[in-house]
Amino acid sequence: MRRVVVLGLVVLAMAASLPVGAQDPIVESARKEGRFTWYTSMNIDDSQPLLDAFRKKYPFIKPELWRGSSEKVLNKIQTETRAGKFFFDVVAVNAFEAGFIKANKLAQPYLPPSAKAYRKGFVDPEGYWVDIYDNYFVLGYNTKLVAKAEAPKSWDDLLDPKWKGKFAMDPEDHPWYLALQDAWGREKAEKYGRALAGQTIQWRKGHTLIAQLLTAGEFPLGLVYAHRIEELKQKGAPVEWVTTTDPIPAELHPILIAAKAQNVNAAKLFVEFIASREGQAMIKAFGRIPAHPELELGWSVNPKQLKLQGVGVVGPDRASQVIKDWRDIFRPTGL
Amino acid sequence: MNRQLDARVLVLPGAVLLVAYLTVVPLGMLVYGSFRSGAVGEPGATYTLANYARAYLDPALYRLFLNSIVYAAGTCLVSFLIGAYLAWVTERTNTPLRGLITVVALVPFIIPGILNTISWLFLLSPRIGLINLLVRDTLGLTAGPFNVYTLGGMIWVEATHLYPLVFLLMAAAFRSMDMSLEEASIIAGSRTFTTLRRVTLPLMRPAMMSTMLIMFVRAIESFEVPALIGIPAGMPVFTSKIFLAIHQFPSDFGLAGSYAITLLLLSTTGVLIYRRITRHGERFATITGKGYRPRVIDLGRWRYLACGGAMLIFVVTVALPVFVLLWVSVTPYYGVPSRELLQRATLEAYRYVLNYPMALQAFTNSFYLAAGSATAVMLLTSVVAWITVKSKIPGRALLDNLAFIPIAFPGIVLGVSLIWVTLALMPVIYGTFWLLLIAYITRFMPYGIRTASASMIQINDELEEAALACGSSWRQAFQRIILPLLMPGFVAGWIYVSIVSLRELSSSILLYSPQSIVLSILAFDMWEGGQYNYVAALGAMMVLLLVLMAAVARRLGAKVGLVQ
Repeated sequence: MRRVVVLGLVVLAMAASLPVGAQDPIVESARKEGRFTWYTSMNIDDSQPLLDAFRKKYPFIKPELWRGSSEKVLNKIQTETRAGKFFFDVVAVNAFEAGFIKANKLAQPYLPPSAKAYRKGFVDPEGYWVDIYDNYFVLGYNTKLVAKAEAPKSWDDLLDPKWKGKFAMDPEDHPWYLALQDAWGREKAEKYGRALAGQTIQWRKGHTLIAQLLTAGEFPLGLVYAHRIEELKQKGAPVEWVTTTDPIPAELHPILIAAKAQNVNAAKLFVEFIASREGQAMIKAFGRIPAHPELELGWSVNPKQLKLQGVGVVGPDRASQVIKDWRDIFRPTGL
Repeated sequence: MNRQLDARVLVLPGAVLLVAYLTVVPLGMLVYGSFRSGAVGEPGATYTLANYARAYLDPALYRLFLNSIVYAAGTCLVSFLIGAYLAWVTERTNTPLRGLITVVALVPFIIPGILNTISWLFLLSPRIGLINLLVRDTLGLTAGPFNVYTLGGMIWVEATHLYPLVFLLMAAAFRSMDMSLEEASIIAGSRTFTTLRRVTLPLMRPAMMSTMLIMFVRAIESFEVPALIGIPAGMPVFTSKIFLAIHQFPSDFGLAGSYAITLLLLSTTGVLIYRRITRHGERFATITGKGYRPRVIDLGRWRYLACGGAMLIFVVTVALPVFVLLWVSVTPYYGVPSRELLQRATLEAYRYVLNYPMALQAFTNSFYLAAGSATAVMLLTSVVAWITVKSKIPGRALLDNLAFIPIAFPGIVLGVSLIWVTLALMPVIYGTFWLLLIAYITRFMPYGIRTASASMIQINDELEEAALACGSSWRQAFQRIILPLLMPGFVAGWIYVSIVSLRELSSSILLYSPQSIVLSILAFDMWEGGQYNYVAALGAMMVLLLVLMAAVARRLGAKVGLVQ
């Protein structure tokens, strides 16, 4: 009997010692590379744990992290690339910057196996990127100042004279406007934009600040991120967001592999990890909105019922055009 | 004789070359970039004047520039009055609580700009500002009297953030002031305040000019206040244009560069005016060989009033913002202070900050960088100041100007140009601690040079001449006469540079790597991650650290200063 147990244990031990995915050539090549570098706009207390979890899975790969806001990531990549240096293997930034990276041939095509589960619009049809998390641009309101029945139901409701001077936005809400253009066409979006601009918008720099001031009651309405409001709600703050606006722009945050990646296989493993249910569950745990469609968010509203509009990865020309239109219509900085 | 020449031959050209290298390289990049149609290194870019045409043919620019000038002049004036008053009270009078005033006067400075600005929003916003609510409810008004979203609000917030620098520079200048001149005035029958107006302040002119110049340029190039208060107030300023150029898609460094050239011309003009005013340096020399005694004035009963004034300044400019900071750091979300919210108070934010990834690494790096860049900047600028003030070397005015140039670089432009230069010349230091050190030395040299130059003017040549006549070498004279006499200014500059180094973000962000991460990057990271109470907790800890550091530095400064 003991012998059987021992034999069983030996067999088990042998089975366990077989390296995971020993058949997988990507893993084998990644083992040889032994490292990769990730440039990201995701803040450190989210991105570092992701790398730590990845390392638990592949202890033979040592990841390196560099974090800055999307535009800084882009400036760094461009400057390094022009100087003929290729330090980064993977990059995750906002949709506009991702579009620029793709258009300027700074990325190479790769879609991880997990991407098959993703909705249309959240994966690049040309195979260069997959989305990892989203910011939903929604209408937030302070429940002490606005009763639920009173709150606007649609974007058009914002044009009601009673909201004049009561609605706050960030001077760089270009993705929101891009979604309106995509949904309504450029002309209708402009007409709406000009009408809204006539409502004496309260400009405040930074979505964090807008959410804070909204909570404090400096203004009753603001354009905010849905997950931020959900987080504040959980802490007991007097805020809520409108689920019925059409569209609800969802700004993507794609991940791409560098065209000249030195550690392309390690990079592929990481992209798969972050796009998989496991990585996406972590992203959800950070309070972000994962791109993976099969994860429940635990909100009072199911995202499937929202009129989401993925704000895509557009080329630099379109991005510049949107920014130009936006500045022309809204003049957020008074310029 | 040979030995005497050695140090001079080595140190002086060495310092000049270093200053030239640190400033001319990024300056060259800036100017070159402003004449190119594409970013540096972009294939297909050509020489062009288009950037200048776009920048200066824009009619809006002149309105913005006017806004900027008004805003900067206002900030300069308010911060100067507050800072100089505090400096005079602590250094030249027998007001009680002087030691406390010295430490507290530095606090607004350590609070990161973004936090300071937001604290003021929570204090002076028309709807939710605590001060407004208090005044409204006490006096039974319908609305609070203040509105932070105005030009006046912008000036106030920026000035409360900048006055510690005025305090530092002016305190150093007052400290190196000989009592005998004032005594003469008092014996001749002048009252204390007449003496202040007719003797003390004119002697302070180099320090005042230096300080005002820095204040003015700092206010012109400031970013947080114009972004967080100027945008809602509908008061766009000159830097808004640079910001928009950087936030073009992709960033338009050519345009940003051509705007930065304006700043450069402005600061150069300032330096030239300063040099004209202080041309007859000997008139301002207050440290002479004739029984030099810095001492305090007995204000008599007025001293309690002077102390009360300082305390009032602190309650308004330090206690209130710090209170907001603490309040935000212990509440789960911001709300006007109430019992209900107080019951939800938690120290979770502090726990979170202490457990933040890389926090310890960032703290260590920041500490070494702050101390390293402050020491390097002050040593370098002391030598440069000696050249520009004491020597007769031709071209010294140019050197003074060179060392001041970096004040006009937008941080991100400096960051990008340093990436370039490093990758081209020394790829081995890319992403290391040393690259950040170079960036900081470059960025903060202007503050060092103004402090050192203003202090150097106060030292009469005869002391150094006496040493040389007694057979000491130039190095010995510099080390044993000039540096000790410079100490008050040196320490003031050192404290300033170390604090701004702790806060530096815009260049650091492009140059750091996980090994060389610094505190300001983590703070910004938390801010962008949308966790305001965490940033507030970090700010509160920074205030505590600063108070400790300032107390220690003051002890040391007093030891090596003029107490011997």
